[in-house]
Order: sequence, then structure tokens, then C-alpha cells
Amino acid sequence: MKTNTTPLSLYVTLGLTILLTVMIIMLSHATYTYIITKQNIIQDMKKTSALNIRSLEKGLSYLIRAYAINEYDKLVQIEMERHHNLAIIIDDYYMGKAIGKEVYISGKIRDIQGNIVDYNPDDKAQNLRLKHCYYTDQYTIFSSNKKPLGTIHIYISDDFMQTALHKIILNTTINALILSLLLIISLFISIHFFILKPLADMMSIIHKHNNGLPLYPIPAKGPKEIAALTNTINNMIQAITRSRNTLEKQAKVLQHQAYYDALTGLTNRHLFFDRLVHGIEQSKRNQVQMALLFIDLDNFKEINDSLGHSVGDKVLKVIAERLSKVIRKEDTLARLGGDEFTILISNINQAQHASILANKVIEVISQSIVIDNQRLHVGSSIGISLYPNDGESAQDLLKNADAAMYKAKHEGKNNYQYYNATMTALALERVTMETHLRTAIQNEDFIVYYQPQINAKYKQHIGMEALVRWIHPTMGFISPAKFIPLAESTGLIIELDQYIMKTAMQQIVRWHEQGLQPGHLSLNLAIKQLQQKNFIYIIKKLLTETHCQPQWVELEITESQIMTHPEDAIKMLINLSQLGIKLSIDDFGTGYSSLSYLKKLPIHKLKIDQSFVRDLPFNEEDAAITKAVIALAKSLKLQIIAEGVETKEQKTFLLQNGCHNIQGYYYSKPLSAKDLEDYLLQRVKIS
Amino acid sequence: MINILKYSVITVLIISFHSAYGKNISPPASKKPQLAYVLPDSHIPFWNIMAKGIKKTASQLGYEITVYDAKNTAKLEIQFTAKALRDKVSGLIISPSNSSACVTLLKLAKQANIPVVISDVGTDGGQYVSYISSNNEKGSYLIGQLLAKHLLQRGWKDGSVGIIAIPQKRQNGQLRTIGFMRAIDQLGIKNTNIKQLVTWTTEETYQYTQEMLQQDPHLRAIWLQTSNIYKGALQAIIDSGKQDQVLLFAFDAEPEFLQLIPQGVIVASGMQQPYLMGQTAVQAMDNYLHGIIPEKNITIPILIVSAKTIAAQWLLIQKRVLGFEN
Repeated sequence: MKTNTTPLSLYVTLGLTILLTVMIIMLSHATYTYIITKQNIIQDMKKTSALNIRSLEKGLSYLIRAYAINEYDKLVQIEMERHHNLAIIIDDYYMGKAIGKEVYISGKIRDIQGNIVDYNPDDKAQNLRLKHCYYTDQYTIFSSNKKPLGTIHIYISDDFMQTALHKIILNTTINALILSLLLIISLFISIHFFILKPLADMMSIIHKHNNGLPLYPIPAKGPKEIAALTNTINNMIQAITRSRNTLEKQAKVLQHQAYYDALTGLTNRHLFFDRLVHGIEQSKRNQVQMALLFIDLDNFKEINDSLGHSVGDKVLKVIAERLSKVIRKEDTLARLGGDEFTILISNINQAQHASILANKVIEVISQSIVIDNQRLHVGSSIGISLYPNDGESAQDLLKNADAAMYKAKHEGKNNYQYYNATMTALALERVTMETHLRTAIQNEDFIVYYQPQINAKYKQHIGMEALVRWIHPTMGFISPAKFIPLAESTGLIIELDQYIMKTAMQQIVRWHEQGLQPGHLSLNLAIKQLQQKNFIYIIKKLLTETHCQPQWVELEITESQIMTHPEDAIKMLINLSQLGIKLSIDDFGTGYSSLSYLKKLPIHKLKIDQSFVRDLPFNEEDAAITKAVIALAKSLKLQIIAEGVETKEQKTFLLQNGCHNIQGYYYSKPLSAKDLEDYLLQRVKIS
Repeated sequence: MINILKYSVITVLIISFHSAYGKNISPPASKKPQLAYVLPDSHIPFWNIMAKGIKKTASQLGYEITVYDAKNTAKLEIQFTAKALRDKVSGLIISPSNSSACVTLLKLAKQANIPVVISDVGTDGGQYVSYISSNNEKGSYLIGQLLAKHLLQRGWKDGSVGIIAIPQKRQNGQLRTIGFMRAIDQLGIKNTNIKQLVTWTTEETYQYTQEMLQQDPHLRAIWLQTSNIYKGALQAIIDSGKQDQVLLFAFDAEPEFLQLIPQGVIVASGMQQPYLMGQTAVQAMDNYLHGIIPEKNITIPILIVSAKTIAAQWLLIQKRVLGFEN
């Protein structure tokens, strides 16, 4: 069980320690002194006894012989007074003989009060005291002719020793107490002045500051150790201050990052939402209108995909700067993410004020941007929602502005649209579409159509391009132009493409197995697939699972897909090529292909985009581009095919200029597997 | 009743008379209370005279008295005292050899529960009934005054005095010196020399006197604190040829002093009364034995005898000083 105990103060701890130490020392000292003193007293007793004897011996011999009893009694008295004997008793044989006894006993003894009195051999009390004395000694006195004259008896009691020892104990105890008291007092004074006061001063300086961290170093006062402690604390304070400053800076940075867009420095989505909520409250209170502009850049995705994110980021920064210049100080400009910007215009009298700003925005964005010596053009689609007409909550205003922006984008970009209720339905449709798309992928509701590719010169079937078609159970046929961008934006394109590839590979294997000579199978490769690190593994797996031969497969990649990350793309394409898969560049001519990269690519075919084919042979520019592409392919010894061929004139132009491979409605629209199978069977029969 | 008393008195007197002739002989068995007297040395006339007074009075008071002569030895003094105590005498009178030895004798007597009267010399301690002593201090003072007057009368104001003293350890010796010195100091006479007797012989007295005379040419008087060895001093003065220049004073008395003082050979002497002291000692013991507490210290006066006073003091000197009973 844990118990909370209050630590003892330094005073008490040291006081107790010193008291205990002094007591132990004094006790040891007293014990030692006691023993030594006792030994000394005993030695003194023996010494006294010897001295008594020596002193008495000389006189007694004569005095006994002279029968001078009183005289030797005086000597005994003097000896008693000089020393701490209990008694000195003389057995006088001479005197005894003189009075008719064996011995005459005489001497002095101390009574209980310590007075020296005559010894009376018949006094029982005196004899009892003698019996219990501490030390006795005796000495026989002889005459010159060795005749015994008498005996000296020395009796020494321990009264003196006890008194002396008690005195030592008392003195030692008093000394110990006094010494302890003095030591404790001096210790307390020393502790107070040399430890506690400097510490208290230090603490008071620290406590002066509310946050407990002094702004200035604490003066190093007091003894060396305290000064060292002060210096250490000062070092700690400096370190903490530095650390705190760093943390504060980091906190500011984090706070900034939390509320501001790292790339452009504009208000981010979070802060914008707060401002929007705040703006709504203010507008509500002041009963004024407020407008929210939702700006989405047009064609930004292409710049990002084709020129890379670093260029895209630079574009965004330029646009952010331009937008900052067209808003008022009280307005809020934010980047919500990607190529989406918002502007909150508070306190507007009329909705037209939003239009003015929207036009300015469109104008500044549409101005060309030069990045790394490249002149770029982006447009913008702006949706506008108004408070309170288009919503009274931040979520509604944002959602509705977003819907209006889609409307603007749908209306052909580089324009703005005010929100109206129908836009909500469109936005809802978009969300519903996404849901259906996910469900369709799960349910494999997509159908792969195959558009034949013909060698027009020899009128031979050479292969087909797999194209996906989505026939919704309730919504019917849904155009790829409608769901492919949605699939790309949601990332569902990877699953969708894998499904198409797998289905098409299985089909081409079946046709080969049927001996229908289906030719090669062209499959469109999405950029996100190309960015998959395990794409090669996936292709291998598909080939293995479907038993499709790699040489039967031709993957179509757009220029922009390659140019997004050309180095990585080249590596990937080389790997694919090494598998035996043929590669072709789709929509050739629409992007910004680098010929140097093109030269490095393991491709074997270029596909002229239908946008160039559409107006052939009458559009001179398209014709020139088409001729140039055909010439390029020939010079690079690449095959070439044109897609979107619908008319005889187009076919003729292409054939005349060396492009023999044709894909398009002129020969066949995309066919279902069944129809294509019939088509192939028919061709087999013809051949 | 009266007749009974008469017969009783007569019987006591007869017994007393008989006992007076039984001295120094072991007393026959009788019912008389016994006393014992231990004297230090019978060779000294002083103690014999005192013994006479003791015996006379004891006899008169109906005691059997045994006198023991210690012959100036401590051992005999103790042995006789012990014997007397063993004999369970009624009372013990002692003239101790010295005041220190007396303490031991008193201690033995106390142990035997026998009362003691001390006659002269005194004691350093112990319990006793009464102490009989000469007034040595006053007597010596008076003899000192007389000596000083004689010197002054002779115009020997600057003359000095030499003292041949008895042992100063004795209380009586100390008192004699003190009284004498006080007197001559008062009268402006100097004392230049003092010598203490050791052997108590005439030769010793002669030697001391001779030395004093040789050492001090201004010596005008010698005071001898005793009597029996006066001849040594006198002969030394004669031998020095200064019999007309140096006066001799003494203490106590010898029979021949009765002639020498009138002749001026001895100018004067302070005479103790030993016989009277003996009588007083027995009387004190008797009082004690009869339940009368005597005075603790009884002082007997000193007779100052000079040529001028000797005639008037003749009978007293005869009996009390010299012990002539008839």
C-alpha cells in the first residue's frame, strides 16, 4: 500500500543526524573515559595503597618500638587525609604484648559522612564497611632483626570511584547536551546562512516569475556548492528557455500549418471554415449578404500530370499571389486543397459584387504563367453561393458553391455560375454515380467491347482495342466520358482497368483457343496503374492466371503518362517490354512528348489521336501533324495506327501518307465479345 | 546512729593510716576502693613529691593507692597502665611521660571504662575526668617580669637573656616559654638564644650555658626552665667568670634553693607545687567517684620565690613544693 509521507525538513534531518552523532561520540567518549578512569582509579588505589604503606612503613617501625601509638595514629590520620582510603588499621604486636594481648589494633576509618574517626575493633558497623570495601592491601612491618612488629592494613572503598565515575557520567552527559546544543545551533545557523538562505533567495527569484522561469540568470551567491547549483540551474534555465523558444517557434509553425496552406501561405480549409462560420454569424447579426466563391482551376491536372508536381506547385503559388491582389483586406482567400481555392466576401449589398470579383479572378488566372521558361495557361471555373439565400450554414454554402463550380466547369470552363437548386441535384448525381461505380466494379457490371483494328492496305484484321462499356441496370448506358474521369478522380480506375485487362485477356485466350486469329489485344493503361510499384507483378499474375501470351498483348500509354515521371515510366516500360508485351503510344501528338525520351522508349507503335483524324483531310494543320507523326514513326521504324477513322476520305488520306493501320467506325464500331467473335468467324470463313 | 557513724569514721581512719604505709607494695586484698597512679620517672623529685601528695590524700580519703614508676619508658608506662586496668582499679591518676602517650593511655582506660585524672604534662586528646596542671604560663610571666626588673635595676637594659628550655613539645614547656617571653618583651629585654633539653643532665645544662655565654657577650641572664640540673648552668657561669655579670633564674625547686636564693646565687625561681597538685588530683577523682563532677581543668598557681619573698613563703615551699610532710 502506498503511503504519502511528508519529507523531513533539512533542519530536522541534519539536527537529528548531528544529535545522534554527537550522542554516539559522547557516549563512546564517556564509556571510554569511564573505563579509563575506573582503571586509573583502581591503579590510584593500588598506588595509594603502596604510597600509604611506603609512607607509614618508615615511621611505624620506630613508633611501634617506641610504643608511640598516638604518634602513629597521627601518621595514619595524615595518610587518611592525604588519600581516599576507607581505613588504615595497624596491628601492633609490641603494644599487644605490652597490654597482654596478641595484638593491639588501632587505626582510622571513615564514617558514612566521610569523617575520619578512630577505628574500634568491636564496632560491627565499622567492620561491615571494611568487609565490603573495594580493595584491601596489607604489609607486615619488620624490625631490623626481621622480627615482625606489626601489620598495616589498607582499605580502599569504591565510594570515591563511584563518585568520580558518576561525576564523569554527569559531566559527559552535560557536555554532550551542551555540545549537541551548540553544534545544532551552529549547524542550524550555518545551514540557514550558507544553504537555506541562498536557496530561498534563489527560489524567491524563480517564484517572482509567473511561469517559474526567470528571464535573467540568478545571481550565484553563497558557498561554492550553492553557487555551482545556481550556475547549473542557470544553465538549465538557459537550455529550457532555448528549448521553449524553439517549441514556441515550432508551435507557431504548427499553428500556422494548422490554419494556413503550406504551399501558398493562404488560409487553409480549417481556418477558412472557421472564418466562414464567423462570417455567417456577423452577417446574420448585421443582416447583410455574404458571398462564397469556389474556384477550381481548369487544365491544372494536365499540367500536374505532364510537367510534374513541382511545376504544378509553382503554378498554384503564382495563382495564389494573383488572387491575393484582387481581394479586399476584409475578404478571405483560402486554398482548400489541390487546385481548389475559395474566397469569402463579406458584407456585400448586391449579388453582382460577387460577379465583379469572379470576373477579376477569371481574368487574373487566365493570364499566362511562365514557369521554367515554359508559358502555361490555366483557366478557372467558379461557383458562387450567397448567404443567406443559398444556405445559412457553412457546410451548405460550401457545398452549394462547389456544386455551382461543377456547373461552371460543365458549362465549358473559364466562367462562373451562381448556385441554384438544380445544381444540388447534379452534385447529388455525381455522388450517386460514384456509389454506382463502386457497386458496378464489385458486381462486375462492366462490359468489355472490342474495336477491331484493320490493315487497310491489305484489308486484314490485325487486332483489337478493348474498350469498357457500362450499362447500368436502371440508368442504362453510361458514357465512358462520364464515368472514366470519375473513376480516375476516385482511384477506382485501377480496379476497373484490372477487371478490363483480365476479362479481355481471358477472352483473347478463348479466341485463340477457338482458332479465330483475333490478332493483338490493345489495352489502355491508366496513369495510376503505371504508378503502381507492383504493376509488373500484377501483369505477370494476370498473364499467368488467364494463360494469355504476352506477345498477344499491346499496352497503350498516353504521352502525358510517360512524361509525368519519364525516368520511372521508361524503367517500367522496359520491364514490360522484356516480358514480351508490345507498347504503343496512345493519342500521340496531343501532349508534349520529348523526342529524346521517345527514342529511349521500347515502343513499337504510335497511335494518331482521333482529334487529328477527325478533320482530315481538309484541315491542313491536322493533315500536317498527321503526316509529321507518320514520318516520325517511319524514321523511328515504329508502326503507326490511326484511331477515330470514320470516313473513306480519312482512310484514303492515311493510306496515301503511309498509315495502313486503321481503327474506327469506318471499319467497325466497338463490338461486344459475342459480336466480335461472329466478326472473326466471318473473317475466318472469308479467308 | 551517731555511734555507728563514729565507728565508721574510726574504721576508715584506721584503714587509711594502714594504707599509708603500704605504698609501692601490692595492696592486700581488701574492700577499699583502689586507685593507681602512674608516674613517668621517680628519679625526678617533682614526681615523687606529687606521688606523696597523692598517696597522702588517697589515704586520707580511704583509698588503696598503687604507685607505678614508668622509669621514663613508654613500654613500662603502658604495661603499668594496662595492669592497673586489668586490676580494675576504681580510678587511674596518671602523669604521662608526654601528652601524646597520654592519648593511648586514655584510650586503654576508656576501653576498660575506668576514669582517669591527669596530673600535669597534659594530653593531646582522649577522655579524662580532670586535668590538674600548674599555671605555667602565668608563673613564667611573673618570673620573666622579675628577671627583667632585675636587669633594669642593674642598668642592663641592653642585656640579653638565654633560655634553657624543657622540651617544647610538652604543653607545659610551651606555656613557660610563652609566659616568659611575653613578660620580657613587655619590658624591652631581648632573648637571644634558646636551647632545649634533651638528656636532662647537668652536663647538658653546662654545655648550653657555656655556648650561650660564648655566643652572646651581652648575655645578662639565663633562665633554666627546670631545677634539678641547675648546677650545670651555675658552674658554667662560674667557669666563665661572669657570676657577677650573669644572673641565674630557675623554675621549680630543689631543697638547696632554700639557701641559694637568699644568697642570690639563684636570683629567683617559679616554683610549682607538686604536692598540692597530687592532693588536688586525688580529690578530683574522689569527687568523680562520688558523683560530683570536678572541673575539667584545675590550675595550681606557681610560687614566685626570690630572696625578698622566701621567708614569707617558707612553710608553703616546705610542704607543697618540696613535699616535706612534717
